[in-house]
Amino acid sequence: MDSDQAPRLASFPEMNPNPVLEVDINGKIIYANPAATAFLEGAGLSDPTAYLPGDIVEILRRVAQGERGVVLREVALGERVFLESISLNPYYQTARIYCAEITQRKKAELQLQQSLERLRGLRMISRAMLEARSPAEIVRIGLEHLVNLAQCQQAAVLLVQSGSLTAQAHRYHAQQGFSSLAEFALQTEDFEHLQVLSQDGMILHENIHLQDETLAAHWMVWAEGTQTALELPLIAHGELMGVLHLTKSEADPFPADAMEFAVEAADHLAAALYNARLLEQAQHYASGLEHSVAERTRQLQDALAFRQAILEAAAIGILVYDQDGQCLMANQTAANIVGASLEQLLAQNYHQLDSWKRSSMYAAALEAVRTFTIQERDLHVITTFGRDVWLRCRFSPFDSNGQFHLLLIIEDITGQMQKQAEIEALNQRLQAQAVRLEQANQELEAFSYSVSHDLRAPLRSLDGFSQALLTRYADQLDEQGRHYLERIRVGAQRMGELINDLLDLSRVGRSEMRRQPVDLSALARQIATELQASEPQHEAVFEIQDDLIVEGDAHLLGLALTNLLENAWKFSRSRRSASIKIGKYQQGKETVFFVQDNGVGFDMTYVNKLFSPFQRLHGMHEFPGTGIGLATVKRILQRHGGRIWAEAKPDQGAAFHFVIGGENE
Amino acid sequence: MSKEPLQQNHAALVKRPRAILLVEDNPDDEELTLMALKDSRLLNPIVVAHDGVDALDYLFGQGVYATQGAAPLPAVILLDLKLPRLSGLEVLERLRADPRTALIPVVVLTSSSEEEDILNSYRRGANSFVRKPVIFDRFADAVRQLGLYWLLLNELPMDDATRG
Repeated sequence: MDSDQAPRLASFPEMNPNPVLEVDINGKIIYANPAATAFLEGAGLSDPTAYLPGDIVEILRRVAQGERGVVLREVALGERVFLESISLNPYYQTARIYCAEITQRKKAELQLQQSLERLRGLRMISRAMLEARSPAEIVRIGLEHLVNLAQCQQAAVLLVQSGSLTAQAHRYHAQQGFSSLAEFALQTEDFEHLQVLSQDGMILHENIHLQDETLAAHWMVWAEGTQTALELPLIAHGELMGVLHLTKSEADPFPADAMEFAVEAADHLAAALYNARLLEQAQHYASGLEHSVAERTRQLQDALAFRQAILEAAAIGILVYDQDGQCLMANQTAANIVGASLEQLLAQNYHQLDSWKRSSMYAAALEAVRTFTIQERDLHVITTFGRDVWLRCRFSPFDSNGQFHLLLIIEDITGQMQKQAEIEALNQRLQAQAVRLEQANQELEAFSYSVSHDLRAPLRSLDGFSQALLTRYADQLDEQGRHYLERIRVGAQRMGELINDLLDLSRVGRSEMRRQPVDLSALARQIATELQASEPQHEAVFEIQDDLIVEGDAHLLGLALTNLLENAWKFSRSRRSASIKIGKYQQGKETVFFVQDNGVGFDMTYVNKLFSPFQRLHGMHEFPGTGIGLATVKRILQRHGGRIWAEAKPDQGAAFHFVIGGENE
Repeated sequence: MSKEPLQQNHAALVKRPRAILLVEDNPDDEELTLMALKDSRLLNPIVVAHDGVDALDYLFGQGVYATQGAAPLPAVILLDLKLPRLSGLEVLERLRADPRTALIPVVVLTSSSEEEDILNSYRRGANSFVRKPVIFDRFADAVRQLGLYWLLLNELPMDDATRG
């Protein structure tokens, strides 16, 4: 080695920008280059032993034992980290230390390490949270990991229920572990705060004094002694799920990477909470769905049972056939009507039923199927099971779920038909009777006509020729002979009167009623005048009340009044001062009319015979008459819906009272 | 009754007062009517037809009367309703339907007093409706009054006018 070279060589370590040091076997620094000194000073240190790694004694022992070689050590000097290449030099009993600064590399390594750890942490959080079943469990797992990974004293979550004014808090304290706070109401300022938080994304509180009463209520989640707090909103899908609080007891700000991690963790937490909520809702829906399916099924079963009950309770038979004519359904009533069991009915195919073909039910069914219209028939059927019934059948074709069906409704109308038949028979009998009545009427009319026409003619002959004999052959007849002829004439004339009265009576029954106002007073005056004219020698005083106006048939009432007045006239003929009164009085709601005379009267014992035809209470020679007059009067009043009665005493006059009657004939 | 007396009566009618035509199938009534007419001292000849067909044949100169032609119009026809072959109402209808006989006074003289008969008679153009009373005195009185009224009081249109 040159002597010139020694200083040159010696200048290498001196010039080296990296620290170079030599330490003797006792651990004493025997050389430190200027760079080593400068770094030492830069780190605020003075003792160069700071460069020595922790196991320097062991390394020097190996030097002392004569070991050669190089060992590598990392040594931190203040904030700087050096990779030291320690060369063992047993020849000089020293170790030479060549330092290369790896501060930046170490930092990057550390950061990478931390990132990895946090990523692992996040993955753990995510996985744990995914496996969690409830938001509380998610929060617990998430908070526990966060406290560890974000290096804080406590992590807490304030869960906000959407649509609710309350919140719930869970927290994990590094020393005290997990705890939950009771649900509490949020105040207006809390909502304002949450809104600000949502907008800003994060709020960092420093230099906190928890005694400060101005703090919002929800910050009570912070642990005692908290000085620094990081507040992060838990937002997923635009929805605020809650707030994450990371707190520290020292006034130490959160490092940027910790904050980043916290933000990311908050996102995961929010997502997990959101999912949990979705899951909860889904489960809720699912259970709700399950419940409503069960409810719907029960309702359907109820409805089916209800319908079945209606079917069974219906008084009509209901049957359903498929497109092949096979019976699909029938109710008990249908079975009862045809006299079968339900099983027998359900086994039937109407294409094979003789009873249908015989009763033309089959034709009606085919018609309904062919035209797809409702067919209704009343049919007499002898069923397959031997019942003989009348059925009201209604064939209704319909489609259900694309399948053709034929609905048949049957009603047993046998009773109805029997009644109808009875009514018809009755009607026929009535009609026959009406025809017979009509015939009888016609016969009566013919008879009346004959009576009026043919019976009078011979009477006229009797009377006429007797008269001719009396006038033309008077000289050839003695007194006795003339008397006989007179008797013949009287007989003929009396028979003529009888015929007339009989005709009047028969006309009362036959003639058509024409109701109109009738002035009985005027009628009575007219009849009285006629009577007085016919027999002027009979002095009778008529007292006729005015305004005897009634509603009735003028002709018939005239006939009745004539008969009554003629009677009064006739039976008062013996009186010197005969008095005949016609008037009315009120009896209850009825107006009663009367014809009263002061004539011979009659014995009330026979009053019931008075109004029957041909009944007479007086001798013919005494009071001639046919005995038909009062019967006619009674009939006339009956046709008006009225009635007549009499009051009399022998030799003390008679009074006939009558009511005209209402609307009835 | 044979047609003999009728034809004789008819032959005797010429140039005499107008006849009365009595349409009556009942011989008793015929005789009584004739008796009553005679008693009322009317000079008019009386022609009797015994049923509706007979009456129309006589008036229109047809049937058994075909050879002698249409009869001079009677002053009045006394018409019974109940007649064999053609009823009184039918006769009335035919009379009123034919211009030759449409104006001849017709008195329905019948035993019936049915409202229907009265109405139907007037509807078909009867001039009067008289019921034959059973009592002969009244019957005779009615016939007498009829004769007086229709033969003496009543004015008829000229024979030519009615014959058209």
